[in-house]
Amino acid sequence: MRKVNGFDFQGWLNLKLNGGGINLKNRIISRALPLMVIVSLLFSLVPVNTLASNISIVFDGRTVASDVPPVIQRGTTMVPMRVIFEVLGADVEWDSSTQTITAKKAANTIRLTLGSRTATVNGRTVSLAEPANLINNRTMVPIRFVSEALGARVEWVAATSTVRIASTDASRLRSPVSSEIRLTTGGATFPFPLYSRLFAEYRKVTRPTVTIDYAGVGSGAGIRGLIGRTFDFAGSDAVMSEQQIREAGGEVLHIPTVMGAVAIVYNIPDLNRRLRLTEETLAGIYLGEITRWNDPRIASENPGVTLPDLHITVVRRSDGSGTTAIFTDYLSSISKKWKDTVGMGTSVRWPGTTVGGPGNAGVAAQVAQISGAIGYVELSTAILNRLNFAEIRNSSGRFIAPSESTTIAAAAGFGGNVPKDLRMSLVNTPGANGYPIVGLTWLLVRRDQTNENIAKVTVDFLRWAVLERNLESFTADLFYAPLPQNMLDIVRDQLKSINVNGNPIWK
Amino acid sequence: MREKIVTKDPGEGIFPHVTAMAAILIILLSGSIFFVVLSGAMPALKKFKLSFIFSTIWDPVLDIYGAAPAIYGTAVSSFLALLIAAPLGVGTAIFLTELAPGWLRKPVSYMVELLAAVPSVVFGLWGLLVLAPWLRKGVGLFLDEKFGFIPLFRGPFLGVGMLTGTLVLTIMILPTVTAISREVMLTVPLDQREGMFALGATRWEVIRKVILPGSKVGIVGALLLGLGRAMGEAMAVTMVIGNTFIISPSLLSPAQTLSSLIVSEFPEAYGMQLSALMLLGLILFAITLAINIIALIMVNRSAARLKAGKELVPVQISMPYGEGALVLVKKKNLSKME
Repeated sequence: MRKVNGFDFQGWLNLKLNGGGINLKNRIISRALPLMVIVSLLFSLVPVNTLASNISIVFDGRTVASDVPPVIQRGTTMVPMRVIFEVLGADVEWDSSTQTITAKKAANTIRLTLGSRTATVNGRTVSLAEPANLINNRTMVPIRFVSEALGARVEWVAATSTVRIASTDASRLRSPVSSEIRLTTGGATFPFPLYSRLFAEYRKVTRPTVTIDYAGVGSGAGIRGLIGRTFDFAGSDAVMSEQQIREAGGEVLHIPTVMGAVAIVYNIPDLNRRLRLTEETLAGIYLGEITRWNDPRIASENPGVTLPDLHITVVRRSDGSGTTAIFTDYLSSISKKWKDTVGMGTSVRWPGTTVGGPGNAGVAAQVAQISGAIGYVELSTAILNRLNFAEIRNSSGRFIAPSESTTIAAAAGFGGNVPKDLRMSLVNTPGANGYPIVGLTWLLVRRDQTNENIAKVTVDFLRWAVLERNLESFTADLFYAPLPQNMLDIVRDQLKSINVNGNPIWK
Repeated sequence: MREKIVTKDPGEGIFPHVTAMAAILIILLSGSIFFVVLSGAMPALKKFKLSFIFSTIWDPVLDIYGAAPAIYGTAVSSFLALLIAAPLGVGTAIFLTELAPGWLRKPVSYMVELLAAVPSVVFGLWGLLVLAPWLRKGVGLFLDEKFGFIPLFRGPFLGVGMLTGTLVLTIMILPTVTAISREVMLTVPLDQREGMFALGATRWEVIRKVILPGSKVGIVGALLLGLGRAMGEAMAVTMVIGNTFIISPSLLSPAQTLSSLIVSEFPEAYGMQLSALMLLGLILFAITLAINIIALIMVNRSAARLKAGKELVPVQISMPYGEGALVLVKKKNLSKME
């Protein structure tokens, strides 16, 4: 028996739902029902016993963030409606005249009325231990009932006060459109491995099947495809310029998917500890002003490290790339000279003598081969190629190595100042423990859509991937960091603004 | 019944039209490619005009573009590659047609043709991961240390650069040069060789006086086709040439070619940068087209020469007071000599 604060938890929630049908334990219910009525009458006479709690909700292994903590009301764990339906990926409608909540997820539909102890699941009436109701002006619903009714499995872990929800094959299914459909998308190559896995998984969970084709043609070509309407949405490592948005002839939403760090990798033989670089030194090296590793400007920040009298070979990307855009954005933000003489872009006119390598792998190969080389690559490439990477001094004066946690810290440095259009740069943010060279990758979506089915799929996919955080299970070996909650809140608002002829897709 | 037998196969009527349509389609296709590249290049052509060819600046941030280092890189890497590939390829072709024992000819020919089927990215990877480190530690280091005072070999050599790009290109065009040279040499009629041998010529004389002169024009055509391939090659070169937009006299310096610049920047390009890349494509298009046309004309002339009886025939001339001499005479002139 699971016990919650002394209550018989399971006793209150003896609803078992198998597949779509409901298997009520009739004998138990028929005996318990009068008792429940009496008990609930008793409870309605005394003040509602609502306990704020430190209960955490874990969905498929990930902790679910909730702005309002779950509460236990007469033994039933209640959570904000918006939080739980978002996690489960259900569509919710609110009818204020009847005070009714309708949630739909693939084949399942549940209907709850505020304050009512009966609910319907796929048209069949079931009774609830605790009704959906308003607590502190938030609509709260019983977590076990709604999760199980929508096909998920729910488990209470008393030791850690955790409600564990596990999706099942049935609960993962979604039906954004009523017939099979194929979307054509494309763009940035760097997130291509992530996106291709993501689209394949999304295809598995949609009935009827939704196929999204993604062509890894580069951010520039992605933007061209979006403007020319050959792509239904596009991937890009760089934000669109005002000029490009004008050419697109309508608002383009920038939906960030993941963020990642750009590591400064180097090849110095026999170095006994991790190299530290200040922003001035790094800019000096790439400007061609610092050309030897034993330069006093490098040595002064690395006491106790014997730096060799070795020529610094500067390696950079030969192809146009979002990684270059992030790196040159960083150099422009910390060096006025760089900003004035080179600037930022997916490819730039590199000062001094440099070597260009194609792709992250090309830069990594050059750095690994050339003794005395320095280069910049996505963190995953640095780790997979076992390259050494430097600690870079951030805006708070600390030397920080790139990692998932320092990437998150960099984004957290923004605090509440996240721009509403999410067309933001994450370099050199004020976070004390943040790594300074961090960038985002976006999916670009037209706000005003013309085809309703394509719009529905686009919104549903982005909800599933970004808001329901399904993409995070594909990022482990890519060393991407998940987006912070404040950005996800803006993403939700953006997705809700997507419309066809002024009618929003996600109500 | 009889009429049915006489009735033509419906294919008789349709077939010529189908083939004509296929041919027209190809013409339309190449025409539209040219048109798309031209219209894409127009903004850059209007903005930079002729200065595009001579400018050495490529700055996507300021939107200023020129092509000189890329044209230079393409020209130097291709011609150097041809310079190395010509003796190797023609030599292999001579060996295969004239010298190699019969059992060896087929396998070696297949090997050469197999080389042509290797995807260019494999050559690029091999160049980057095997050839470049080897050159840097070996040949490049040696050249820089011993001959670094000559601008041609001024270091530091980073493994990637003009030298590595040239060598990878050499390997890539070798099968083209070898296979076509071999085909052309095989067209030299057997009776000429046998005639020469019958007259007591050595193998060396046969090669020098019959095979090479007879297939000269065809070999030049083969070399030009190889040159065309070298100029158009993008992926493998991109991986090993260092992709630096400079004109350096040194073979050890990183460089840039037209095709590698296009393949590097096209995916992320936008606006004027895209147009400038299109213009690079147009320049490359013009150069390779010119080279291919010249090559085809030369190969065709070699074939036409055979038909017209212009090939040379060995003739033993008796001299009044001597032992006589072996000379080559154009076949159509043979009658005049009688």
